[in-house]
Amino acid sequence: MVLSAAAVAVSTGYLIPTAASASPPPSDQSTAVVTPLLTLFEFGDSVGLPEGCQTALTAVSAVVAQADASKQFSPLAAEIGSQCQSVANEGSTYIEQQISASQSASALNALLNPGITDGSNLLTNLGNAPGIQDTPVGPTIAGLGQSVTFFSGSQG
Amino acid sequence: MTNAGPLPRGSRKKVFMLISAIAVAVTALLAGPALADTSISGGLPSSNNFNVAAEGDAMEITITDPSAPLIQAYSASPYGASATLSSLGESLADAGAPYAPVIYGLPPLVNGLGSGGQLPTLPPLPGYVSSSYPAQPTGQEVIDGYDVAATSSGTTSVGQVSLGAQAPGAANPTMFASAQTTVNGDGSVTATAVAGADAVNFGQLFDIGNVSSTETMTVPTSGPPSLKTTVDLGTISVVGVKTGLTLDGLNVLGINTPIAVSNPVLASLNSLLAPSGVSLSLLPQMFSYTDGTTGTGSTPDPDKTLQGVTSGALQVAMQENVPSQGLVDVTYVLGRVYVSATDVAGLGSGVAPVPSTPSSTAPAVSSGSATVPAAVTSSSQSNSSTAIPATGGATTPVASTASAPSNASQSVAVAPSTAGAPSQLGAPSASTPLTETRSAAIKGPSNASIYLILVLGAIVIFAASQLVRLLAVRSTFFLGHHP
Repeated sequence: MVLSAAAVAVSTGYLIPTAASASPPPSDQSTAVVTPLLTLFEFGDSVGLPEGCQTALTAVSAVVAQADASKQFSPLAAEIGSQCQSVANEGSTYIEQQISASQSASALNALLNPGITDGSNLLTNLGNAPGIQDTPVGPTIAGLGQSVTFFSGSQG
Repeated sequence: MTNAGPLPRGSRKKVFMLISAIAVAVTALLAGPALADTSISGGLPSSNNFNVAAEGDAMEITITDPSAPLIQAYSASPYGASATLSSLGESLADAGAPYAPVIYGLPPLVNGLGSGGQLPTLPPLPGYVSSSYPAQPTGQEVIDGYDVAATSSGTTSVGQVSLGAQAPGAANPTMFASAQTTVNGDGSVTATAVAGADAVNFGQLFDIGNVSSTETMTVPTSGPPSLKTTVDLGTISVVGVKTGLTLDGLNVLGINTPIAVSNPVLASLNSLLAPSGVSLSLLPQMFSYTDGTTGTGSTPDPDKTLQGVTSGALQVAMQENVPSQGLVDVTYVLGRVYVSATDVAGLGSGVAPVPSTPSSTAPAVSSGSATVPAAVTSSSQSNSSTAIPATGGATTPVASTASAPSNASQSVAVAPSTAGAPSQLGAPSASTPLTETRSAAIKGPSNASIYLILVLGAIVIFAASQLVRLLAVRSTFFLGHHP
């Protein structure tokens, strides 16, 4: 019965510690412009680079298949894909270190955030201004104002 | 821990009584209102199952490059509009110039991928608006000579594009496209698509003017659908001299003189333009039927149920010599529109007649610009005003017939030719009525019946769970807890 109870508890998740509770919570500190840029780079490194490699390999594989050389190309494609993933992993580790380092400069936020907020408000107000709001570029300009806020740092 | 034995007979009876009471209560709460009110939320005045779609693409450009990697054919549409309406509550419209819904859908996709603060939010791309009821009922972008608008309500959706100036007295601006889907007060549904251009310049070869297509398809709750077709293939003006246009040919066709497009004219023009790698042809009207088959011609197959229509169009095929790519085929299809409509009666009364929807409830796409196409009232809809641009032809379509556009001063419709050209766009005569009839006996479940099905499903699942519970209690006998 104890085993049954344990199995039920495990199956329902009561006894499984979550990753969030096991590891320390990530710091929410970020430095304006710097940390968001690094975050952007990390996304490109961890998601964009492997996807780009796969897309390029697929394109090349199609050409190679037409040349009836798939058998020779397959090992090379696998090696290139592996190298891509390895580079992406190394890059991700490096960028995460830089993100952690950048968080120490969050004191700059008091200087940078007002400018970013002003720029965002300027674009938003411009895009929503009468006479521009209904033009083809009005929503785009207003949306850019929202995009600018991505580069602001953490408050406080 | 103690073993759970079988419930006493009295307790088991109470449990079943409780289950029955809950089931009856749930059924009464959910199925009652659903069965009493068969109208679809959002104000659709019909309990039928319908799906209406319309799209107008005034100019489809297809570039075929045999030496391009991966993809050899690329299609684009400079401007277009579409509208969709269904009995499931879907009421959507969009319009764009350029018209590329896939491209315009990329920013939301990227924003979804980068959610969580990994990417900055991408703003919407200019030149495209969409609407959906009730979340975003209107969308419009207007500037001088440029107007794209989309409006959706519970009973109609309209997408509209107007580009260029509108000359005094002209019915349309230089380029226009519009699509409208409507569920009428009597339960019928209507799909209308319009697209055209007043002037299309093909370099120093020729100009094509006043080309437009209009398709209006109305499907009543019972009886045959009505189809109104107006195709104005416009005129061609030979504007210059280039390789292949001989002086004799120009003398025959005339220079800077609008010539009505017809098969004989195209044959002459094609012979002149052949050395330049240019050919013009008339694409036939295409019909799709509910049985999945398609056909072409001037009238649909009377033995089949019509589901959709693709209008005829004028196709201009050219070959361009691109230095790095070689010969590249470029195809322009002018004035092609699509409509599709189905309207199947549901269970019970089939149609729930409601008071006619006043015309004011139809969302007219208004604009402060003077370049908006003239709004016309569709002759097939007595209760709703449409914002579809009027076509240039003085056409008087007849319900239940695919009407032939009459000749106008600047446009000539191609009449059915006895030559039997395969790519001929024929205009049917009024003596060939659209006789395919929708089966009035077609009955299907109404949308409201889904609630009853859900309730029944819940009851079955609940009863099954109780059965499993009782069997589970009894299973202890087989585990050796009882002798």
